[in-house]
Amino acid sequence: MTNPPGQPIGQVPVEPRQPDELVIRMQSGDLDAFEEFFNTYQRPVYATALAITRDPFLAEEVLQDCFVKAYRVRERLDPLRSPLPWLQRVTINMCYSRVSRRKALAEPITSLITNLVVDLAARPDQVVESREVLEVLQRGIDALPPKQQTAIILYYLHGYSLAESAEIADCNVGTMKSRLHYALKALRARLPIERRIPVGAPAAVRVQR
Amino acid sequence: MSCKRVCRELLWLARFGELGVDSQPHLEHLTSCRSCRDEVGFDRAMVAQLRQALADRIADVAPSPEAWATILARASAPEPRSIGRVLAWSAALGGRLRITAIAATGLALLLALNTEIVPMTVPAADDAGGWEAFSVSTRQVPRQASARSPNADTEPLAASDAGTVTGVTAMFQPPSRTGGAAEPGVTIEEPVVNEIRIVFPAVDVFETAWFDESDVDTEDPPAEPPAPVNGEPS
Repeated sequence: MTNPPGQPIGQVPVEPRQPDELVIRMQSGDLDAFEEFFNTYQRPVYATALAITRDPFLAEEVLQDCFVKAYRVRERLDPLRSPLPWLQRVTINMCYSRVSRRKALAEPITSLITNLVVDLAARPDQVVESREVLEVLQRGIDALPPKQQTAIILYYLHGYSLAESAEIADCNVGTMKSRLHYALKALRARLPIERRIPVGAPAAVRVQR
Repeated sequence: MSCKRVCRELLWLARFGELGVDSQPHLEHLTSCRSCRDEVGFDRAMVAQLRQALADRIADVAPSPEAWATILARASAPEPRSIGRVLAWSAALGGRLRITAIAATGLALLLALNTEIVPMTVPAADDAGGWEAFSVSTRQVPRQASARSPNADTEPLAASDAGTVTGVTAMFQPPSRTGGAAEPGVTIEEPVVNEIRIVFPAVDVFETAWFDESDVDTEDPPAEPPAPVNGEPS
């Protein structure tokens, strides 16, 4: 699932197209069509779930729930429209409902793992600095409000256009631009501060500084 | 246009790939302003690192091979809709019942704390003014006269009683041996009547005029508002 930086992974078109034979066959109860449907859309759905939750097990749980739900409501899917925006929207909602439930438990473990990874990655200066920036960005992404987080995942990770991202997030293009702008602004604000702080310092000290 | 504003607009345009012919002034400014170049350059570098950070999140991880089998099994199974809905409905109903029970208990407690039972002696039932005598006997229990009731028969209390205790008084007449009204000439021995008084703190009695239908004229239309005087705001 490795994706070169800068290259979008959202290769499945979101724009309306020809009547989707796959959806029509699936609506008639064809399980082979459902399997093809799963193989077509599982990658972007799983990527979104993993990017939000950062937990492979939780992401797979969301993936399963999302496709089970898609099969159960298949009658309501519109064959004239790509099901991907709907799938992504369901995935995002499921992720945030689960993340909010598990956040309190997962946070201490996540921070522990992050510190261990940083310590193990200590190498020549440049690598360490790059690693530091990425860690700062990861923490910055985690700290973003869900709507801004969703915006950067759709736009910068999946490479959807502004219009496609807006459709998935169920907002207009201007709102999507605004969310991206504020997300980048928040990330920028974190970078200069955190880069001055030693990586090994405890999280509480970092916040105080 | 200030440098700060140009920089802000440049960042916006560059982020969303909207630099075009209209952006010429911004680009000219960019060539001459090192600070703005640094800002835009930093922003672009940060976006590249952001893409890398996001890609790292999903690197080398894929759904397990069993994912499809699990999905198929779950999708083929009947939807546990009814059980889930019944449970959710029961939980909601239980919550409402709890609230209702608490409210009812509170109300019952309030009534119980403000209620006293007074044994009373009741006059003979064959007395022509039985109810009157019965009512008079309640004078021993001070209570406030109702200012609203026009029925003098139910107003046996003296004005001096008013204001001492305010409340609702319910009196239970002794049961008749024949099951109906008290029989003339029959004396009930040791009749005991319970009076239940619900006592509230004394409040001011409002003199409310008794509703009189003759005061309401339903045929005439409502009076129109007076015409505004010239120059006066309406």
